[in-house]
Amino acid sequence: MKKSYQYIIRSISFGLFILTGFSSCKKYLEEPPSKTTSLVVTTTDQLSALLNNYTQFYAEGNRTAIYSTDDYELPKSLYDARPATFSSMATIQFMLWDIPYLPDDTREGFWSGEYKKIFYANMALDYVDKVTGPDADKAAIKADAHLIRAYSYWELANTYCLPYTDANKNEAGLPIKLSTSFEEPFVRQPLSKVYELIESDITEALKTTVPLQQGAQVRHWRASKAGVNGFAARYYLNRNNYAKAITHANAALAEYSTLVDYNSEMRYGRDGVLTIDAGTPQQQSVTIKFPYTHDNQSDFTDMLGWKEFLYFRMLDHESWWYIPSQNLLNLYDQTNDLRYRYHIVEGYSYDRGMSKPSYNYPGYIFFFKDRIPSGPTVAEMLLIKAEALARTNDVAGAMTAVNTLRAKRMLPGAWVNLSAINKDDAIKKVAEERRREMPFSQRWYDLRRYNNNEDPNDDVNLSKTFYPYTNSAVLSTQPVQNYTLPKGSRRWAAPLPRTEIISSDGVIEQNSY
Amino acid sequence: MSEVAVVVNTGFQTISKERATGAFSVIEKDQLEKPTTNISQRLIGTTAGVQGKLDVDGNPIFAIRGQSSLYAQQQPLIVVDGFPVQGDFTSINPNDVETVTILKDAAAASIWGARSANGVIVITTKSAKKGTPLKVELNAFTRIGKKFDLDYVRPLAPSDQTVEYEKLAYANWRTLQNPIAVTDNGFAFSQAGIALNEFNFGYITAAERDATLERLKTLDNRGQISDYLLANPVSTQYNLTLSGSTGRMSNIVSLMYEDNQSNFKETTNKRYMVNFRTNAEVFNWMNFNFSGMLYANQARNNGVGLSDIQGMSPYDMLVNTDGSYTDINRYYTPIINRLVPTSKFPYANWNYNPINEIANRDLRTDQLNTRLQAGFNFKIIKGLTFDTKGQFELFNTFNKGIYNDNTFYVRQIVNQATSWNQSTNVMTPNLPKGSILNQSRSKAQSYNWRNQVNYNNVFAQKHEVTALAGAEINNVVTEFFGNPTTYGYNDQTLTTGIFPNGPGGTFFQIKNWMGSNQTFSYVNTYSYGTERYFSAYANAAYTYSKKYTLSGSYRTDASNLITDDPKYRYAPFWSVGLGWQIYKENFMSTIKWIDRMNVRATFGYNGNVDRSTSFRPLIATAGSQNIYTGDYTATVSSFGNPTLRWEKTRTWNIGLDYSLFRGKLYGKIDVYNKYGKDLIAQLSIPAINGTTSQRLNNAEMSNRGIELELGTHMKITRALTWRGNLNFSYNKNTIEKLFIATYAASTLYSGGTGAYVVGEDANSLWRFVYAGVINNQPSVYGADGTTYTFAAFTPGDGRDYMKNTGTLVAPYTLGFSSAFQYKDFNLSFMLTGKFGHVFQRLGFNYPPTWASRVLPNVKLSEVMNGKATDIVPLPYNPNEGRYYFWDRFHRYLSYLVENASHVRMQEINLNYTLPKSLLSRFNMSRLQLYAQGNDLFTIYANKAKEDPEYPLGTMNPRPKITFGIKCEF
Repeated sequence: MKKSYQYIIRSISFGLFILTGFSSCKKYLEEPPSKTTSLVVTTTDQLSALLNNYTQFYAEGNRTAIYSTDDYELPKSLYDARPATFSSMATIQFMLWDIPYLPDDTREGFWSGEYKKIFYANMALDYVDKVTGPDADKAAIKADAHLIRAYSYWELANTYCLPYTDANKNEAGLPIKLSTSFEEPFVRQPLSKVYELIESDITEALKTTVPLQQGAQVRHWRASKAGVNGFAARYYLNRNNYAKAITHANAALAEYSTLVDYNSEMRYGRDGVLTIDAGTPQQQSVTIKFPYTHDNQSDFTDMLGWKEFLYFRMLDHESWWYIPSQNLLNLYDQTNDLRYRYHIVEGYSYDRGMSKPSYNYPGYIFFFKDRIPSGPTVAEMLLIKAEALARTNDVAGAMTAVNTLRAKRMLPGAWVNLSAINKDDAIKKVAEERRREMPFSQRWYDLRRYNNNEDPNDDVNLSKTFYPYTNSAVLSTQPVQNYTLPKGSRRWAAPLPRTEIISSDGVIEQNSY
Repeated sequence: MSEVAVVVNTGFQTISKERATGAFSVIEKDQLEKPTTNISQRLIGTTAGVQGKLDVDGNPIFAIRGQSSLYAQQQPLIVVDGFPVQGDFTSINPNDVETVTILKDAAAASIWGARSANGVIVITTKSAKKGTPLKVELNAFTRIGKKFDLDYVRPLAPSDQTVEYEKLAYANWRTLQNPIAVTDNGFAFSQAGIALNEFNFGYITAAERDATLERLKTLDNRGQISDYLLANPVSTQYNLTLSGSTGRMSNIVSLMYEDNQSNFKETTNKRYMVNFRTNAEVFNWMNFNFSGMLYANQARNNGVGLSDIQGMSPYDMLVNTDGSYTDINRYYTPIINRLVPTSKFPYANWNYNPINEIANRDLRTDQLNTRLQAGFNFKIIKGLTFDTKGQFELFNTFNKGIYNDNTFYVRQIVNQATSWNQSTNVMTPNLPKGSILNQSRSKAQSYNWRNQVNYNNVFAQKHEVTALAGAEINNVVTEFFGNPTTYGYNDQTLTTGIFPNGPGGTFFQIKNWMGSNQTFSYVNTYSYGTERYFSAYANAAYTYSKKYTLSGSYRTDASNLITDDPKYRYAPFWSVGLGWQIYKENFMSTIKWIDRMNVRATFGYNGNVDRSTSFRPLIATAGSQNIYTGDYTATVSSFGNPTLRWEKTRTWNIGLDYSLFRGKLYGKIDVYNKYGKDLIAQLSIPAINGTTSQRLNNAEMSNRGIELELGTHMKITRALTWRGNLNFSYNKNTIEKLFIATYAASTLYSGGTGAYVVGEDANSLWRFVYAGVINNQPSVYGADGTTYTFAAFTPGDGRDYMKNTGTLVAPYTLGFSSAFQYKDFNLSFMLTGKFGHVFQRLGFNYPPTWASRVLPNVKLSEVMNGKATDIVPLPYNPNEGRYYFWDRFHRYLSYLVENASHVRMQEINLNYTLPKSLLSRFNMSRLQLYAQGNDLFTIYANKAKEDPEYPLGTMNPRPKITFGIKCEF
């Protein structure tokens, strides 16, 4: 009796042991650790959710675009009025086309930020054929990912590499990442390879059939036919391929051509009220008039509601002051141009702390204090079309395009319509309009283009006057000196962050100057 | 020899101390018996190599033999009656604890596999003694502490100095415009600041301003804060334990109730705990045991926090002379009065007062936790037994906060959400009036199931074999449920309000009182996580001739890591050990003064796991649609970890146990080296990979140390005995391998995970070196003899010019306990010491005029009287526009770093046990009265007179005294 008990127990125990141990162990351990985080991608909905997340994509902290053109100017007198306002050394270094110190700048975010977008795009492309979901969604995801990748590589190439010309074809381009793997080679590919990739990505993206407007929503934070055509138009204008630029601009405009009429739809928002020179005999109260687009910092209603976007991107300036150069200010018809009225904010220097002793200087304000539309817009399409027409000697066509935009930007009157006497005049008029419409956001790319196209008339050599500086201080006790960025300088390529060179163990190489 | 516990408990088995090869520490019984609200408090100072710190409420943080992981779980594993438990020590009734064993090295802990790298604390609970019909134990105590010393926890400059400083700051060191417009309403200036600003704009005269300032200088709110907001911390605990056994069944049940008042009025908690444990010998070959725990904790968190007190000016009185509550203004009051038609808003009262606030809110956290364990033990043949047992745990936490509409909290939210047409003064409320209710709930549910075969036998009286093998599964599911805020709630009628104009958003914009867009969340939030483990393990020990022991253990753990290839889920951990009872050798038998001497050596691997990465990139999804686009969104949560594997810690340990002079001197010595490999760390990779850093299993860290324990038990006279125990440990931590491309100075001084530097201690404190004032600007030393001013972030790699001032974690620790028994009296005390580390003392806070109160701290005088070459002075430049930026520097200067060495009198305990002869008349077997003092004093090495573990400006434990009674029938 006892023996049989023991036998039964032994059998049971051994059975249980086996059961708990090894039967369904693999399945048991396949339970995902979380339902909402650390998820493996398995559906198109998840990929769409990644691409829907516009906060990951829309901002471009390109400080080269912000500081390194003739749209930005920090005059000595403004600096002297309150150096504390301009204490970020990056401001000075980008403005003066620094080479030795910029690689060590601690606030670098543009290079890494664009490569992060590329990672998202590669992630979508890696997974899109492995996940479940409708084919239409897969096609939309692919087009979106190709656009994101083309866009980021184009911005990086136009910031960190020399302008793309026949002579520069084999100059250092960018490390090319086409997947999410960390194993891909880090080494910088020749510039021509980078442009081949951009062009093939644009071709893929152009296959999209997604319309920009879907019902009441203009879904410009995802790729659409109009959005891809908009970027393609920008790309081909920059390649001096005017025929293709016109084709894509027209395709974009054919799908969507809504403009914001500054006469009826632009307005002032919440005023800034403050007192300057407080406690002195000059004390007075000032009201700063801001456009309504300044009112909300984190609420996206006004930004996503800006009707001209074909694709939602913005230049993002963490130091909150686009200081317009005198040169830029002089371009505006200050009485009749409503862009001047709303975007050039008088007394913005007070808002930036220059109130005791007070110093009056304007700021360029679009969305809040930091963001300017930089993605393709209806306005940009009109300007691309105008410029491409002008360069192909269709002066009248160019003026029609540019004046379509001006009608929505100026007070009504004789000054609205521009006219040109010949091709060169037309090019000049359109270029000036382009600057008025899109200061900071496109200027850097335009300057690189002007200096390397077939037209010698539009070349620009940049120069600035400022104090000497070190990596940590402006030497404001020393006399000012002249800084230049002439046509053909190798500094048209901004230096790479040094952390990249260290992290890649020297495989990623710095630009040579 | 009775002083040395004879068995150690690994959670899987009990083994005799003699045969244990690993580094175990057993906490002595009389140490566990002292009154406590948390059993972990009893461990402080008792064990070499266990570094503990208690927070102000007595909750512990432990590190066993240094930090062994950079990112993964760093707390030791807690095992109760054989199973790892969820929750912390609070789920254990301190009166129920029978033994505590600490497993420190690989041989001791590797049987626990994953998560054992930080050490294991094994607790067993009491069970009824066989053959005892009924035993009743009753224990009750109350503990009372002093109120906070406001000069310590709120070290502000006195009122007169504050007002003088505010004058300077207002005149010279502004960062924003002076408030004047209605949009500046949120400038919660102090009363002095308001007077200065009102005069500046001509709203009051110079005489009025000066009268206000002079009046403020004479006020001091410390008395009122202490009376109205602070409380004496009091804990009262009652425990009743009933135990008994019949021939084949024994039962024990304990009931505990505890009532705690925190240092803040209206912040209290009540704890209830029931434990039941039964053991039945169903057949002579089968045992059954069951235990159940039910725990309820009701916390009321209505009181203020320290930051509320620290945020008031020293002259902000709480109560007027007529007894009415003051307004501790959260707005720039004159702007509100001048420009805002307050009476047209839903609530006309815009005042804030913390006394009113704590009286009108009901913030509860209720926990309801249960733990059930059951098991069978079968005796199969001689020496062979089989165990099957399981554990189920269900932990629930309910958070519920009701603010009624007397609170500023509600009035502010409702008023500010109102759309205000500033030209017509027409108000459109967007939220209903009434209480605001916030609720959330979390739940953790786990089960374990373990089957184990044990074999114990002795052959030919020389060969002793112990072996076990088993497998277990463990599943833990944690869930969180968050409810959206309920507005217009009425707790009497349970009615709620609605959003009268909708919740806002792109297509139905609503504006707040200042004209900005606003949206109200109305969605629930959820999270759901699963942790699963499967483990198989075996352990065997062989002892020859009671002298030589060889032990080995093996365990493989698998977890639900995300991987394509299941083989990566498994991690093998193993250890081997040797023991030699050297005193049993013939050559030692002549040495009479050695009672016992045992040499141990072990080697093995422990593990650690990180579930947040995978070979592949992973995403995280948002719980609800984006309010502006209506789309669901997701982000990449991990960019991929191609090196993913288990963290492994290799440990060797050599130890010696000894007992000399007939037990007059006993103890042990251990030397160890722990080396962690494949540790997860945030490493630099080129940004072209999508991220500048990624968690990769590619770091290494070592902990080397030595531990000494020395005990004595001496009869000094016939009636007086002395027991003393001294333990000492040294640990050196070094990060051996880690790649980070460059460290911004701000990353280094912020410390924590970002400041791990190869070749340095993981807890290094990096600081700037002050260089004095250069060109009217305070500066720090930079690389290569340069200096940097405080005006901008410093460039380059911080390692080139910052100073590693030392480690924040003490390399040397000391514990000393002593107990004197004189007749029926017992007097004992426990001292702890920590040495060789650093801390940062409080420095002056250099507050500029910002948008709130200017609150210079008590170190203002140090700056006023100091030399600019030694200490950062107040700005030389009038209108110093970058003054606000100085806090990136003045908080991180090496001259603030002080030696953190200290000795703490942890507790003194006196008890008196009534003589048995007296008690027998009342059928009592034991009656003990006791008194205990905790946190009585600390001796520190620093000149700043700050307690390094609770520096100036943080909550420090105050001296407490406990009175209690313990009786047994």
